[in-house]
Amino acid sequence: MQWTATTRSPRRFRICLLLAVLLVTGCGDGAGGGNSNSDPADESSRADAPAVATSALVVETAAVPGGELTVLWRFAMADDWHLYWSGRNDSGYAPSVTLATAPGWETGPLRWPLPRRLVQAGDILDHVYEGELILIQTLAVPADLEVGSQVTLAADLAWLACRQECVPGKATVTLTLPVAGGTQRTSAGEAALRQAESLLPMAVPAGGLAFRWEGTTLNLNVPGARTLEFYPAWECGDLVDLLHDGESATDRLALRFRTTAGQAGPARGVLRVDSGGAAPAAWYLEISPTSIPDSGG
Amino acid sequence: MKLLTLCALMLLTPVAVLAGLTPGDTAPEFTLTDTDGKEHNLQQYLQDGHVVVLEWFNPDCPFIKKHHAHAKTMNETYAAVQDGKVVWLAINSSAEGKQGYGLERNRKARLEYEMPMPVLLDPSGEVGRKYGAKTTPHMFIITTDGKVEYNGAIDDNRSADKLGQTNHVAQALHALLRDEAVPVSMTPPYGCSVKYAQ
Repeated sequence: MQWTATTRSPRRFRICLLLAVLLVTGCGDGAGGGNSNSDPADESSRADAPAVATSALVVETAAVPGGELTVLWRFAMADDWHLYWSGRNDSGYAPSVTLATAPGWETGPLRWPLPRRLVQAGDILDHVYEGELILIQTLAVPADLEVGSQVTLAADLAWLACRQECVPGKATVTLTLPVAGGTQRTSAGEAALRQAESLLPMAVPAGGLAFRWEGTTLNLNVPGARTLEFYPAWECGDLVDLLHDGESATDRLALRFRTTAGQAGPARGVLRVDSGGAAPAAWYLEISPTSIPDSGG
Repeated sequence: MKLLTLCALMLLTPVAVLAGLTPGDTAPEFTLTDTDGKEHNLQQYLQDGHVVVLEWFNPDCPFIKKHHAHAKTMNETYAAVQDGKVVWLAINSSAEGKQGYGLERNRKARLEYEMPMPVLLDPSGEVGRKYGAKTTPHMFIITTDGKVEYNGAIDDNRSADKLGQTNHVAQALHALLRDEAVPVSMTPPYGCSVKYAQ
């Protein structure tokens, strides 16, 4: 897999995997107070080693007018650092990708892999990534691009990396691609995409999940599961106690919701299901709210 | 070339709120000492007729720098209501050995940030845990009857470098000082995690 800028012979029209790489963190705090190099408590002085390195990979060899491109945005974290999931967390914020392109480009949502639950002192609950985070995004190529030309996309990546301390970072990644009448996926791109997709949550498999509302409590049952964890999206209903309700070492999970405007829920987020296999499953959970009578609030 | 934005920012105004002290709950009592050695007792302030704002603080957290160094959100919010009725207390629950800990560090930061409010030290994290303070900053407003009237974020932009459209604390304080209902009394706080002792 090649995540660095590589260009093959243009004569053979195989300019592949144009990438751009690497800018690092440690920035972010700019002018203002607190940049004392003598103060070991100030993270500005600790930014000697990069917390996050970014790069990108286009899966296809060329942009086809009216077609689609698949881009993998990669955040490689140094040891001990973590980045945040896009759903609900007590602290931090999720990385962002903002693409500057010519008019006519359309972008799909970022697709986020399964994070892990992180509980820190003070009952602070976050959902995070360690090591590596790869976000998948589909771009729709404008129909009026000229075949034979080149197109350059610049993306601004921003993130908050934390370990004991937190450091915001940003980088600009530039991708240059030929515009062609046809395209194909590179083998490296295809392999990287498959790997990244394997970490994405998927739809609940048929018969995989049973659920039942009991008042304001949503009871989930995944037959065969050893552990269950629920990671709520921001749009999830208000949970009474996610810290304790959000994980279970059984095949059942009971999520207690607060009543808002006469209803409890919806349950929206990701359910992590460990059934003892090589890797846990991750399912998108979307369960409609239930009406709560006045007396039941 | 125009900018076509794309992106997946989930930085603005999440719908959900978090558990913890809810509006109407009684604010836990505490006495803490500030960086000048002065004791601050919540009950005393309330008995004296003050509305009390609590701001969880860590001088080295990027989100605190956003509101104390790069912008003066906290100072300006306080100044706008500083008629003697409101008391604003910054509380640092960083444990020994963790980011933001220490008398000298906080004394220095208070000067650097030109903070009119005192910085109270809570290295055991006892007060922070009683309040369920999760982030720096994490804001609470307590009215003279000892009830929590606001629990949450300072504003509605969860990034480390952009200010929100709505300052929830300013909005709540202005409503309270006019004897009006607080329009938004609970939001998810945002920032660095509070650096509690294990």
